[in-house]
Amino acid sequence: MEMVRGLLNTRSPIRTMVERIPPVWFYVMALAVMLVLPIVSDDAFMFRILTMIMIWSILALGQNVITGFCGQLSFGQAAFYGIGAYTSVLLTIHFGLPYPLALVASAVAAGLFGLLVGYPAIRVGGDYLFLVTIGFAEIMRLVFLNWDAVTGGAVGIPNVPTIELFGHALYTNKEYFLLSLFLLSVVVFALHRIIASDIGRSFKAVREDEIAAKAVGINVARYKLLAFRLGAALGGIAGSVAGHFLAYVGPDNFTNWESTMVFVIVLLGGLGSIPGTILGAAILIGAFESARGLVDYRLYVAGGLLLAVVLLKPSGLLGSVKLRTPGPPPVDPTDEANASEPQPNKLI
Amino acid sequence: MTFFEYFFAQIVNGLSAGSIYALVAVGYSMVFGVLQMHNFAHGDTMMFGTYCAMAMLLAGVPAVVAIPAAMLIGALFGLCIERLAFKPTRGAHRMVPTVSAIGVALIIRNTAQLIWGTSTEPFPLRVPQYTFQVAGIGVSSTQILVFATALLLMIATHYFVKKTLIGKAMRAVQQDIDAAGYMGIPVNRVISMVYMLGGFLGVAAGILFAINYNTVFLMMGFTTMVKAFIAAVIGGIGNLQGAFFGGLLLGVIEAFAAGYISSGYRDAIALGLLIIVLLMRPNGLLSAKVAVKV
Repeated sequence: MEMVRGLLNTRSPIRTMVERIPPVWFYVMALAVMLVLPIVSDDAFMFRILTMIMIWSILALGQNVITGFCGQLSFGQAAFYGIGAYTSVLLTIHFGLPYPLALVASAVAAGLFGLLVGYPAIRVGGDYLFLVTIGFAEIMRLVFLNWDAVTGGAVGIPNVPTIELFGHALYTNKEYFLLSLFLLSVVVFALHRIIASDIGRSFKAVREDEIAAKAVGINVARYKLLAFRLGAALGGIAGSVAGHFLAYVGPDNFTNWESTMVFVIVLLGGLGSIPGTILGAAILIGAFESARGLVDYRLYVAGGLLLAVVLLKPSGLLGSVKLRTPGPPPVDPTDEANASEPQPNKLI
Repeated sequence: MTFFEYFFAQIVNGLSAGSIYALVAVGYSMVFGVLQMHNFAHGDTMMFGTYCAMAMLLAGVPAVVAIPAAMLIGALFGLCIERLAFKPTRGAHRMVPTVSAIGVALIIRNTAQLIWGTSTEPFPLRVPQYTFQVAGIGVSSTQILVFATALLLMIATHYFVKKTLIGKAMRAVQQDIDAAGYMGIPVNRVISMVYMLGGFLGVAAGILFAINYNTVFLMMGFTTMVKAFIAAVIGGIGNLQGAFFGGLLLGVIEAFAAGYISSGYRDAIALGLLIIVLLMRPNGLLSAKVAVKV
């Protein structure tokens, strides 16, 4: 295992060369390829997979804002996804709201719930927060399941109307692909601007050491709430598009399994890495959507990936965040002065 | 049924369900205490062990052999989880063992799904059915059996931790892992033992759950684990007596929620309780406030 870990963590000259290219060029190239695709291809199945990858990328980027940028352990992204989907679908069906407004409404609604989950984050940290968010997601699922009058209960809402944008109804997978590409591009651009700003630096300070962040005058509570609001709003946007794209919204789409998948995507791609999250979504969702035979083994895939990432390469494929315990830096074992100190755990 | 009969019937239902939560919470809390790490694979160990007991009973193995054997399988799982998910990640960021434990839990769940499928099965152990009338309230023999067994196991655990040498070593490791090592306590072996004991008690609770509700299903471990966690938080995590009372309290609150509000929202109310307790007293209802060490 040590050898595998060593191989995964060495820097090859090619990797160094690739890393010298400014990241914006990767985005430009990826966007160019994605824009050429609809011209050269008409493969509806491929566009369906790509749309799902982009929806999940937005969803997982929301999780990455909370966990990767701000360091808050959350496991309830499916709840925000569900809130976004139900809000958008119900508003368009019952009130005939134009889609852009419904999209904004689902982001706002999910963001408000994010605020609600963020409040415990001020009081409790770490794994307690983890369980609070699991609990919140489960409460939301039970509400979706039991509030028959509004959510349709276990049956859900079938035959969701398609998205209508400025008088043009989206019918093909290709049109949904272009919409989600547009939304993902906006989200990626906005997130890059946010992490480059003082907000991003404050998130990072809260993640690395809360007490130190407080000591230099950062309002920790405010930034935690902001991270939750932002992450939840992204989940809401993803849910809104997914609800209309799949033409069905039901409680089975927003379970603990969806939260687990988002978590795997973020860890696989790398905490705090925006391109990494998209890569993670492409690998995981691409695999699940294209190989339906994988469905019986999906927990093996997810569980195996989680184990492999944390044991072999904790920073993920493209991540740079090094998870470390807060407090004084670890003592260098090669240090002369400390070499003679007994190591109780190792001896036995 | 009069108001009081209905009221006390809910309490009886709540106590039998709560004793199961209490038993899971005691195991969970003990494992948490030793390394201060949540074992997210606890619930799935419990589920897998219960399925093993079911399979053995269906194969004709007598219950006196099948149930202890399933509990030993739980202990073995506890050991494997510790070796696979916790030992390699000791000293890493707190999130790392949490994530690796979830990874192991998913693998266990998928294995159970491949062997036994996703349908809900009845538990093939028949307990003689009697109903005792205590002041007009019916108490079934199953409820008495579940409550008595859970209570007995918890008392046994309490004496094991307080009176035996191994229990003393466990408490020492829990108090100060480094100092325990300096005193010659085999720290790694003791930690493994705690995880084994956790798995052992977890499967026992899983079998009681299966007897009480006459069902075995894939997600029973996950939901029960979350509830055990709530019980442990109510009682102050790491505190075994607290976990016991927390479990009983949670069971009764849930029974009232199901009886008077709506059975569909039973779990939602339990989870809402968790969030409220954590918001008001992050260290639990029964524990003192501890300052964060810098």
